[in-house]
Amino acid sequence: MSAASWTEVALVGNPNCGKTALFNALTGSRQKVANYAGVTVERKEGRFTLSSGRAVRVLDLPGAYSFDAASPDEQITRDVCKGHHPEEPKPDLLVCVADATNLRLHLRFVLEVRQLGQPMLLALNMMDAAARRGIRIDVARLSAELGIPVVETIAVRRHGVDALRAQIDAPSPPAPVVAPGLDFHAETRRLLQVAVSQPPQHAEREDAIDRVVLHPVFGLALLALVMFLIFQAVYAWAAPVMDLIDAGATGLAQWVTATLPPGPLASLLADGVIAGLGGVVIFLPQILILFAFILALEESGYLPRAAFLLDRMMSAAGLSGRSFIPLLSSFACAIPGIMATRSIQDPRDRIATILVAPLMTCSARLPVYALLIGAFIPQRKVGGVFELQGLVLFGLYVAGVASALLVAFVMKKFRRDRSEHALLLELPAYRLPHARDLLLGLYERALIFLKRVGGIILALTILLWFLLSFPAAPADAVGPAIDYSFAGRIGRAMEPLFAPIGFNWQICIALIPGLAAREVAVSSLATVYALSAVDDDAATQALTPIIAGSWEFATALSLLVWFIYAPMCISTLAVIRRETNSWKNVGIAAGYLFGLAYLASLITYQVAKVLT
Amino acid sequence: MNYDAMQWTIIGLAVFASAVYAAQKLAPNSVRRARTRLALSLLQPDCSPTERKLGRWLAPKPRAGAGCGGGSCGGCETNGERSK
Repeated sequence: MSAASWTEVALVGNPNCGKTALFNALTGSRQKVANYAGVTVERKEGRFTLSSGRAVRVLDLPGAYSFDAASPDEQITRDVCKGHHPEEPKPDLLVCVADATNLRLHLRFVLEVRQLGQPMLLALNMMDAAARRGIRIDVARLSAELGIPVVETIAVRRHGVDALRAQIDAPSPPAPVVAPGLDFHAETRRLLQVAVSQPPQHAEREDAIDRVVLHPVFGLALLALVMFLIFQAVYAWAAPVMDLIDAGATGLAQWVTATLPPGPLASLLADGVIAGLGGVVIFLPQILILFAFILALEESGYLPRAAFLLDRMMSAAGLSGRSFIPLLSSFACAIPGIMATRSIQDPRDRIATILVAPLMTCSARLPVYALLIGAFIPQRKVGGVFELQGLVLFGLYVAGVASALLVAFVMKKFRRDRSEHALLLELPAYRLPHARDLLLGLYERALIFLKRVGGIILALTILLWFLLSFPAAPADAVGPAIDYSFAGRIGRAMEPLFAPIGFNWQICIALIPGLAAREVAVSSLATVYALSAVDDDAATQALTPIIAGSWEFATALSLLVWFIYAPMCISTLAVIRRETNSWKNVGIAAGYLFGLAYLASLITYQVAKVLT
Repeated sequence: MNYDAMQWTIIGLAVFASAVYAAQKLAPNSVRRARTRLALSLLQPDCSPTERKLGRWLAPKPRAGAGCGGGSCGGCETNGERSK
């Protein structure tokens, strides 16, 4: 189908009004939605067909409060709506989405969009929440006053989507005629007066909750408690499923070894694929538990409140409160986190946030942390209540955050611009997370993780197995065969550089494929040790007891510290290049992160060696 | 085919496919440039029909926009929609 035959529709509106949820409902896709502003920072495209057979191309645009764009993401929305974007045609129809519970704010932007004089319609979203608060909207009157069709929707439940599709399918509404120089604020007040009735006190319950949650002392204590409990749960709840996966991988490796004749194919499957991938998949339960909590917090509306609470601390460190959401996204993966910095208006703040985002503990670090904690930190209770392993994991996350704040503080000292920007943040209504959305979010995370395991991790594991197995040892070899392999020689060559921080040649080998993705370091270690094993039983053993028996405690601590800082992710560096359009920033990020990693690991290893 | 030959064939294919996949994920632009150069050399007028067919097969598809830099991260993967 040619581009000309599509009906071009663009979804616009204030941040956090449900545009992406509506986009997902219209197109059947699963773009990320959350209960805070700034989730969508780039335009997203989807397609669907109307009942009349018309094909529609729909754009989900970043949220904007006004066409006076203040940040890169708002500029995209402005340019697309006005037909100034170089890569997008002017939309045939603008679907303006507004939060029905907050029309005082959202109608102002509706009026600004109407001023463009393009065909448009209004989707009044979150009508269920509005009804619960006693807000009554005379939709027919509002439509008549605005001069555009108005459709009621509840996007997260897919209510009203058929009516919206029918409205898009109807003959294009005439472009609204608006007198120039309209006072948007006065017009908003007039519209609210004639078409909306709301009880005077509709947010008493939320205000009461906010008095605790946003309290400078109790609020921070609550935030610390919430984060602390999450990391406790990661260790307390995941163990049974992890044991099952571990037993399954070990059993499968033993079966392959017993079934296939000895040779390179059996070694590839047992020592390479099964040992490598099994070593990573085992951490899926912990990742899912962590994300279950993060998704629930996202949906509840708690996260922007956390941003508000931390604003003072972040501001002291040279970051703005606007950095919170990008940094929070970086806990999943630094890439969407760095992309989310587009919502930061000040270019210096944006660069500072981009440079510290890789210090946030992304989910790819979790398998490495879990492996080392499981091997070296005893499984016991502290104070009779808390898991020691959970405490250490919590400490690693805190170390990442504290390091980011420290680095941002140092960067602030080097900046000439000492101005500070006030945080303007829209606090969304509290919402009970929907079980369906949570399960869908977890399914997505599991799929992403398993796709990485079956994709890049599998590919690198096979390549590493090859490099560890060839060339074969000569007939008169005295050492283990792995010493004569390509990877063995590379590992030995790197060893002197990393010896001061306690890394042996096996760790050095694992660091190289680990540059592609951090979890690959775990699968690589599993493959290296499986191929170094003296017999088949030892080769099929899980990685945890092997490293627990052969590494010093100081080495494990040093490697944990290395992974807090080292930029072991090529994709992150590529995104820094793309977002900043500068190789210099890539050099700064890689240089300071590797430098910090080496220095911190050196201090950790040397101190731990003296103490243990 | 005896077992020995079969296992070396499987290993060869697995290593080759892994190398191509990893290169495409980690250095997509370099792979794209290499494919373009190779395809252009195979599409010269003096090339045989088989070589031209191979050249057309090798030629990279037009860019459809990408969400991420390197692509080895699946953190922001979509389900078929484009994000730019």
